[in-house]
Amino acid sequence: MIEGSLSRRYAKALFELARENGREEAIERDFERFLAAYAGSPLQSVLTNPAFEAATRKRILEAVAVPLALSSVFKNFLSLLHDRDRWAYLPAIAAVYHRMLNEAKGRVEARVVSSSTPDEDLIERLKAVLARISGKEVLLRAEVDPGLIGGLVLEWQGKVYDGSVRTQLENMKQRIARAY
Amino acid sequence: MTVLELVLIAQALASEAGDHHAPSLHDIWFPLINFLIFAYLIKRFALPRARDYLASRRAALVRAMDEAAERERRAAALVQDYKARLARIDGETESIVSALRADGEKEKAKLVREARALADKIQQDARFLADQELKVARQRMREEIAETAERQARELIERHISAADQARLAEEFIARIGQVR
Repeated sequence: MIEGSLSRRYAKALFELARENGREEAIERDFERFLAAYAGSPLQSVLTNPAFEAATRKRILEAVAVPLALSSVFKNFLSLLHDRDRWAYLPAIAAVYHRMLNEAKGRVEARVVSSSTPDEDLIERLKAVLARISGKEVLLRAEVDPGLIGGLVLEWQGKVYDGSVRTQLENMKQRIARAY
Repeated sequence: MTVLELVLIAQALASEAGDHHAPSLHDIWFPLINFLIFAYLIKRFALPRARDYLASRRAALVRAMDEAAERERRAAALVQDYKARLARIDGETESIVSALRADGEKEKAKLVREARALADKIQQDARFLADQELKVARQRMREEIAETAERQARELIERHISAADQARLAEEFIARIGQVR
């Protein structure tokens, strides 16, 4: 709860700062680039390791920011996290920021999984249905899982809609086991 | 007849005795006085003592007889008491035997009751275990049947599902999502 609250506070502060400068999307991309370089890498080990001096770690952070082309706002934000030793909250802050950006832009995210690669027409029609229901732009991410056998699974707005053959077979098995 | 008359008679008889030399009166007085002193002493000292002795002896005998009578009475009472006790012993023995028999019957009944209760409980437990095992066996059988059915159905579907089937499933799914709200 404390972690969530803290992440929300940092994300909200960053988002408001970005909005003042009209750079919400740019900061979102900064997040993506930095997390791609940071998460699970030696960079993370160095930046979070107190065996290295804080000043040394900060110089490393500034050096890394150059090739990643991070904005000054985002660099300052990372510097603040470093000074306050809040690196552990970075992924959660990024997630909250992402959600805030989507809400501000009137977008919702969804994830659809199918047993084979879905065609574009299907994706577009599903997006249209979801946009009609939610009244928002839908960012639909499509994934493939052959284990589904057939049908689709949709994760949307915190719910899972499972229309896969695998789940139907599982339900059938449960019914047989309970009431045969 | 007094002592003096006895002395005079003795002198007359002695004078009538004849020609023998008659004893003098002095010969009689001395033994007489001696006798009187002796008699007095007897009366004065010996008789009271003898009387006291006899009286105390009589009292002792009377007391001994009373004590003997008391002892006899006590012995008779004791005999009577023991006779009564002996008479009661049969009854007491009978009541003790009856009480022991009743206790034995109660204990027997209690043991039988407990044994029956235990037997009932064992039977119930055995029945419960048998029921549980039966349920478990049934459940296992259901699960095996269900798994077999699911596996065969999955293999069948995987062999025969086509792109058209997948498209139809996707269309149905989208239609259902469209009806969510």
